[in-house]
Amino acid sequence: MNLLKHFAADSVRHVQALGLLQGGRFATRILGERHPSSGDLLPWQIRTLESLQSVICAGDSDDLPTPDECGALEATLGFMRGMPTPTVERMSALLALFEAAPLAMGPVRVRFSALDPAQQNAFLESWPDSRLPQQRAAFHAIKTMCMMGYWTRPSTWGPIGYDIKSNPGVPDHLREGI
Amino acid sequence: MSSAPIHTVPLAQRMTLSADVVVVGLGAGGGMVFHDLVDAGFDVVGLELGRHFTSKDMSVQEEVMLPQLFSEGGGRATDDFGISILQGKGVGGSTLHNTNLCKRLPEELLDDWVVRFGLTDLAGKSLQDDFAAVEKLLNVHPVPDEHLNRNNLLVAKGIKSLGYRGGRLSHNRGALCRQSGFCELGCPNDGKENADRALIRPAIAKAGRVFSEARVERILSHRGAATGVSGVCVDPKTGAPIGEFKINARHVVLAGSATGSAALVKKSDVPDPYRLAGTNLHLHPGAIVAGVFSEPVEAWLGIPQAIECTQFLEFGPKAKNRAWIVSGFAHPGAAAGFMPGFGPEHAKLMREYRNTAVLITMLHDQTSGVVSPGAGEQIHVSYRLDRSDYDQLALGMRESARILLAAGAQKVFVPTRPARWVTRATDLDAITGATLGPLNPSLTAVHPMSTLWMGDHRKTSVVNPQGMHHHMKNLWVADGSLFPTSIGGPPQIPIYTFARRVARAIAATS
Repeated sequence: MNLLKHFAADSVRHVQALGLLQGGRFATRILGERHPSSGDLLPWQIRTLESLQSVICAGDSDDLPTPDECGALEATLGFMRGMPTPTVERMSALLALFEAAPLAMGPVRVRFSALDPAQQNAFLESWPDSRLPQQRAAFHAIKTMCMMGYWTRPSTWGPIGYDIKSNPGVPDHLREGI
Repeated sequence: MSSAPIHTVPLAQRMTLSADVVVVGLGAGGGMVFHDLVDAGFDVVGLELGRHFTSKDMSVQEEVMLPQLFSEGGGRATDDFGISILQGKGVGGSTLHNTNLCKRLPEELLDDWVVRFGLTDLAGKSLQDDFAAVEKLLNVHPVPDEHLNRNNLLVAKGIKSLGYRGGRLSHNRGALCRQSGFCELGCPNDGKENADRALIRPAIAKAGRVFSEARVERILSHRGAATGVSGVCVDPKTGAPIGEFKINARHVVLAGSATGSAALVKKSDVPDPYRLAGTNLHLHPGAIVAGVFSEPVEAWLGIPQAIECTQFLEFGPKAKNRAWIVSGFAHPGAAAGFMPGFGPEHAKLMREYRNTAVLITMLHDQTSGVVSPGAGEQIHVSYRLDRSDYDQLALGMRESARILLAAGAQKVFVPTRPARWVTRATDLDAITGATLGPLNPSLTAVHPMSTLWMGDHRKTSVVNPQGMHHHMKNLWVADGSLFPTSIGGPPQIPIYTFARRVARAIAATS
């Protein structure tokens, strides 16, 4: 584990010195998995994404579905499957960065997906307004992916008043398909 | 690689074709060159990296359409991830997803180009005649009163109450437009007079040949003259190569955007003794400012962008203010990414989505960036705003917020770090350029330009005033790369128009 911590700390330094993607690729390697070249995420990267999405897209009241209830993860994965392989590879590097970051930054030094939800929330709190532009950039990119999967689920639209079904400009067959 | 819609080439087969002209990229610029040269009797092959879409493909689903309609699946960004760069992909390019904004170039800008870049042709009446002809071809007209939605009406109210300069925009929407509000996800009603509908489809009907899912990898040349292009057919989803092609042609026209064309020039080792290609990049980056009102706005109903404020937009060497403010809108998936925070706090803000009106402030930027090629369709973009541009960004955000407050917004979100909610105009003075920096705020750019710019001198520009490369004969540029400076506004009409002039120059040399 010490070696893992050392490598994880290195990955954070990579982020600062070389940029997000190099740091993320490095993190992917030290987390013990082959780097995906097919454009697909590795199973642990999907779990990381699911953990991130459950925190980032947590609702404020019961009328909003949880990401799990509305199929947000599958929607985000579908969104990513529409992207060319190099773009998916960039996103997978960012996911690795999040997965490895608690090992280096603490306070609980385990992989992100091994933190409990409250710890995950606490860990992410500093990212949106971090002094480090790279950290803000990483959070913004992941947040964008998570939000795209969640807020495009029709079951989230009622509570925010968005509505396609009553939009007369949208062709009937598309409205009926929602 | 499939052609759209009249030719089919078997996958994984090596294809070699000959033509008079090969056009690389079929957005506004490539579409116009393709159209005009086919019309003039040339044998023209058009190549496009993305798919060929019809209105039936436009599903109005954000998560489905964004990866298909945008380069790099919508994931293109500056190297520091500070600016998201949304560029179109597909037969029709960015005209598939744009919001139909149509503006000519202002005279002050053209005067500057005449003086500084020797573009004397632009001073006369002929350019204005070309603008007018393009506008007629694309059915450009001011947005009528009955098509102004609540978002646009509120913005107009704010601009008027402050006495600011601004007004109605013109669009190139056709008779089939049903004001669905889904312009940026591809029109499901075929309501846009975009490059595909207005130019490419008619040219195909006259024997123009189009191949989609074709990624050009190299410009071919012999003895200092372009002779064609080579590249690979790609899987439309993964971008993986699945075949090869070579097109021999007397003229090569680059129209793959200010990022794509410049990257291809650099990748192809086109002579560049002064190391200019790919530099001088302007992004026209924008930040959103959102006002929450006491009553529903429902900005998703009706056409999204119809009102502009030009009070703080000046051109030419004496310009003091360089912020263009225009009404904006995003559907929930994208809008959620812009709103601050995450978790329950963010969800609470999303509940105000229905009552939110949006303005976008876009910089007529002086900052210059650099484009270089990456793997596959990836392009590296190095660009970081200079201090004067941060000052202009702060100005634009302040004034956008002021307009929304004047329109009656209860509070206005300004995307600084940390996020700022403003309820009084007096609070706006705290937003200054000095408080901004990389990713503060996050920016989005949809109008890259200026990387292969025109000029009369080969030491200070990449192509000549007619659009031909200074150092490679018969290599032409016909997209936003041509503009020597930022143009500070929506580029489609200028790109269509300059491409028409490039097509005319090609015809004149043949």
